Amino acid sequence: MEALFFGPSSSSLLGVYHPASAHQDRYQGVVLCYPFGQEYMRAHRAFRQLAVALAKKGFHVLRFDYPGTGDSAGNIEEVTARQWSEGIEIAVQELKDMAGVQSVTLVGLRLGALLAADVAARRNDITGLVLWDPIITGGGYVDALKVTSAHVPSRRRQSNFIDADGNLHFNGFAMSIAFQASLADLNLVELRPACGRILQVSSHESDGFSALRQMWQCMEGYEYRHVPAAHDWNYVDHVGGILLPQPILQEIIHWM
Amino acid sequence: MHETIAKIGSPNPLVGVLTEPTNTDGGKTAIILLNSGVMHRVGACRLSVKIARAVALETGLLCLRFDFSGIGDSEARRASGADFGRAAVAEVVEAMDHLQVRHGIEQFILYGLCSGALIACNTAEVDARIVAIAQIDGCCYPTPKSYLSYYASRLWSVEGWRMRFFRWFRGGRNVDNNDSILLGGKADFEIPEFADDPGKAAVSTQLATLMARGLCLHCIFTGRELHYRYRTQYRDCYSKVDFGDALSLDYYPYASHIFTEPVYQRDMIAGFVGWIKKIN
Repeated sequence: MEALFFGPSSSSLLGVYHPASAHQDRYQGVVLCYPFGQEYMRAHRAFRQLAVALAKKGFHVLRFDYPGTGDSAGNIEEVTARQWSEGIEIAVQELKDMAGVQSVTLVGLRLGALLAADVAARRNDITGLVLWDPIITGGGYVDALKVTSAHVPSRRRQSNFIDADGNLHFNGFAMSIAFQASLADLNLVELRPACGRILQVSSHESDGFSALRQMWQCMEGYEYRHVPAAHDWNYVDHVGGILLPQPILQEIIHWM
Repeated sequence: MHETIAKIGSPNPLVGVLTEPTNTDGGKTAIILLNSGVMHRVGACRLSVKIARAVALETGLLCLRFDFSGIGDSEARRASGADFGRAAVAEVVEAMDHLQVRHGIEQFILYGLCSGALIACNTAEVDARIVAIAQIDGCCYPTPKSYLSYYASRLWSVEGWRMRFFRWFRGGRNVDNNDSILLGGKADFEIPEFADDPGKAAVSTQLATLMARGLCLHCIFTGRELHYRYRTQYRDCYSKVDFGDALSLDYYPYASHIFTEPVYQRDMIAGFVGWIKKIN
């Protein structure tokens, strides 16, 4: 495992590269795409476990922090989802250069899944796509966060609110109005990623997951799995508990 | 300011990020930001990243945030038999050694939230290079005044009466949804491994030792700690410790334990940077 900064020097990204096990090298890459905000904090350990397991299986894995998140440069208030997608593309290129692989699978959770599909639809070197509890529409995601946000912060409720400029503050992370706008046009159902294999894995049933499944089930290489597991990604407890949905991790590892 | 990866020790180096100011004051002091629970080095709500960058920009001090072994991006390497608390102290000492050898740092300021605060104090007890500690929701115990405040507020609380109603007339606990999720899905969760509560007497003795050595202490408390009820409770709790003017207290009664509120995040970081400027 190798932590590194990569990408443009003015906006470098923190990545952690897990090289493939020397005895089982499949010469294939995997880039892991985190979700947003508090969900990222809760998913970090699960992503690390997934990366370690996939590397043992022979994949070269890179997980990284989007611009303005984690240890990467910038502030969350100043980035857009478009820059996050660009970050995924930079990560794909970095992994190809570093590991010498030609094809890459993107594994995304929640908003990371939507952005991974968006990137996969624009490139021809993404040969696999894993959508874990994907956000179906960017606009719908923003609306869902807004529903649970008090519009006027009070003295006792300062965490979740929309400020005077329209920026959304949710569980300690900000989503600028520019970020919200950049999500508005993203609709997973309308995307047509040209990957050889696609796995949609859902921890629970939802109308959005069903709609996506209906639209994509005729697509060649598409598979759907319902694997019941914990999925309250945006819950904040006071001790910093995190989620490790092992059944889903095992399903992804098995599918890969 | 620029940031680089720090690899501390071997084998299985601990992974960290070093924030180096462009205009360093050439000083011999650095700040080390510790993990809180199982959250990785960026800290709850990215607080550690924000603090490191603000400190580097405004004070010219070098900052290191790193993951204890088995947390975040650091591989597990604890010796069998060593508990987390003891191993963490040894790893902070290792990080200080690393900065001393590589960057000529001689003095350290530690920052920790919750379990990180406890580790900061325990490390300071065994390593005199630590000259100051900033802690969020560190060890503090109720005082007569805090009891009075707590029970008085419950008497006037609508929520308190609602809970009593459930207990008295409905014959059961009023467990909210999030609690039930936590209780129902244990296998899918991992919660922090906390060190045992050291107890008031032990903390008091430790503080007396640290104060006698000249250590500076910046204590921040949030309203999430139900037993912390007023700004100067820490001083009252350890009334036998001679803090002199080495103790600085900040209290955010409406802030959550992990500072999910942007306004309190900003205030807390500004207060932290101000304290660093004052003591350095």
